[in-house]
Amino acid sequence: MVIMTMIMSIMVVPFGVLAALYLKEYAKPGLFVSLVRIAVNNLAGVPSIVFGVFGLSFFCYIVGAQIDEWFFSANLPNPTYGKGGILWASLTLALLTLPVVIVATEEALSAVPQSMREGSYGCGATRWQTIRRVVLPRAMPGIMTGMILAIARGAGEVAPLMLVGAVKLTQDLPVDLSQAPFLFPERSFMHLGFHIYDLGFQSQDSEAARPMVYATTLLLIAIVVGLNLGAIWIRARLRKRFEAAR
Amino acid sequence: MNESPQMEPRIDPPAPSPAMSEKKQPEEHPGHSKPGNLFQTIESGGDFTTALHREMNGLDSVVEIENFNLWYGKSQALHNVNLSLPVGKVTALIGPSGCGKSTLLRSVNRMNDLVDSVRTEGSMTLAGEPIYHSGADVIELRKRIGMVFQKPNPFPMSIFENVVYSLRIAGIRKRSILQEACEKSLQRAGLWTEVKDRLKTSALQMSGGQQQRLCIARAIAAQPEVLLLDEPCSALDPIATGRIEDLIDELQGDYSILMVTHNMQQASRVSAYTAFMYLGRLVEYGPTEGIFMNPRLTETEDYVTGRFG
Ligand SMILES: Nc1ncnc2c1ncn2[C@@H]1O[C@H](COP(=O)(O)OP(=O)(O)OP(=O)(O)O)[C@@H](O)[C@H]1O
Ligand SMILES: [Mg+2]
Repeated sequence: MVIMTMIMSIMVVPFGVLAALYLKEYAKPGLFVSLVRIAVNNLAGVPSIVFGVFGLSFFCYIVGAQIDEWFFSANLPNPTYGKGGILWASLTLALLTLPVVIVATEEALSAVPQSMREGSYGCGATRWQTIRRVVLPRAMPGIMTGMILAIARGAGEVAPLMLVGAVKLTQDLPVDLSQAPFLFPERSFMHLGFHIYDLGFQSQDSEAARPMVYATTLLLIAIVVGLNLGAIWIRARLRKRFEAAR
Repeated sequence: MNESPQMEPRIDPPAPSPAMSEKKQPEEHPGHSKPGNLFQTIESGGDFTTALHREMNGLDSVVEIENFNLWYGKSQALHNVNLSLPVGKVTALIGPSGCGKSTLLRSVNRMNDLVDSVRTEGSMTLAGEPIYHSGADVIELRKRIGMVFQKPNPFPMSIFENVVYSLRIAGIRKRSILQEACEKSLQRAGLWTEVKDRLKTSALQMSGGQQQRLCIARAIAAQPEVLLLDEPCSALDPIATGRIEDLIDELQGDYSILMVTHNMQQASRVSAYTAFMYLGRLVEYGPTEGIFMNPRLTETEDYVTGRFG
């Protein structure tokens, strides 16, 4: 799950930041930008199971099937990528959390004072140099906040994952240090949240399962808190570097 | 309430200002129009020409502004401005708030391009090359013109990186060149001794006055031809202001400086030439001495002596 969240963050942050940069810094304000912004905000309100369905049909059945045809045709008809797996689960989560990151990044970019940009342009910087050297460093803590929110949302999400790769029990983890590429993005995985659901509602003997449910929940919460603390710690370090002591 | 009939102190001559008290002032200027006349003409959009002092003719100029007009959307902020900036001198730009001083300053390095609604007419040249020309390279132009803003705006990076910012974006990587430029600029800005031990710390932790001097160091690091200063001392205490005035004094000769100020004493102390603006027009332009001691227009005199509302 930690891996999944990390893959998710790695995927969502660049996309989210690029999208926000485009909306805020490059696109001329107008009908198009407003429409995109409304769409993004609506996306944030879509139930997560819908993302799961989309992830399943798009990533697993379309993209994954294509990859299988091109690279793993030997294994067909058994799908390699054309089924649920941790990579597709991460991408689905990334999609799910994209609006959060876009909105937070746009906020952070708006908070960068215009005078700083003007100072940079006044030195003869191009727009991209200004963004890279002045705007982004200054907006970094805010972008990190967006990432923290994204992690908080993504890490606790279960519903879409049931569709795109979480299974009840599996022996092989997606990370296997004893085998050559170490990372197997196509493998299915167990997910704590799904595990809780499974134990609590699906098992025959729910009385016996209760302590297990509590323990697993505690672990899930601990991991989410841990991930968030990590991100907050990074943000605090960035803040120290960029903001005035006052 | 009872004092309202006596609210006429503006017309009485006030105590002589320090700038004026030394030299003898002619009591009457022949050919003066009645006070307020010109301003009324300007306000109603009538014709008028800039009162240009004789001494301004034949000077070498670095920036040449001709018939320059500027609009923010529908409202016109600059009306037919003609001004040439003498080489190696400090020129002060004065005038009441909102008269377009910042707008004019920001037009010189095309900073107004950043405002979407701006439209311009007329021409400006920097050392003979057109500034407003579809083929003009704005980035290159801004590298030749340094700008210091009213509020200090250091970047979120170390002091060192702030000073060498314009070198960095020009692609200079060599440590020795950067270090030399940094030391030289900070020394000129009178900041070197204060910060030489903490070049690696964030510039945002400096005091306001230090930050403003840092911004000046940043503006001169790339050795521009022209420096534009927009009320560089407005946020500073008298000591820091004094330092920056000394600095401006020291920089003239090497740089041609155009400086906006609301402080008449400051204008008379540091500038060689002074331009007085009103409602987007350049009203009077001449040597600072002439503008302050012997202005051609009563309006200018009223403004520089503080009699003007
Ligand atoms: N971005 C803008 N959009 C629209 N109008 C503007 C903008 N900037 C300035 N103006 C208008 O242009 C006129 C001149 O403004 P400018 O900032 O040049 O005045 P100023 O002489 O610098 O005043 P101050 O002494 O207060 O700094 C003002 O009437 C102002 O309202
Ligand atoms: Mg101004």
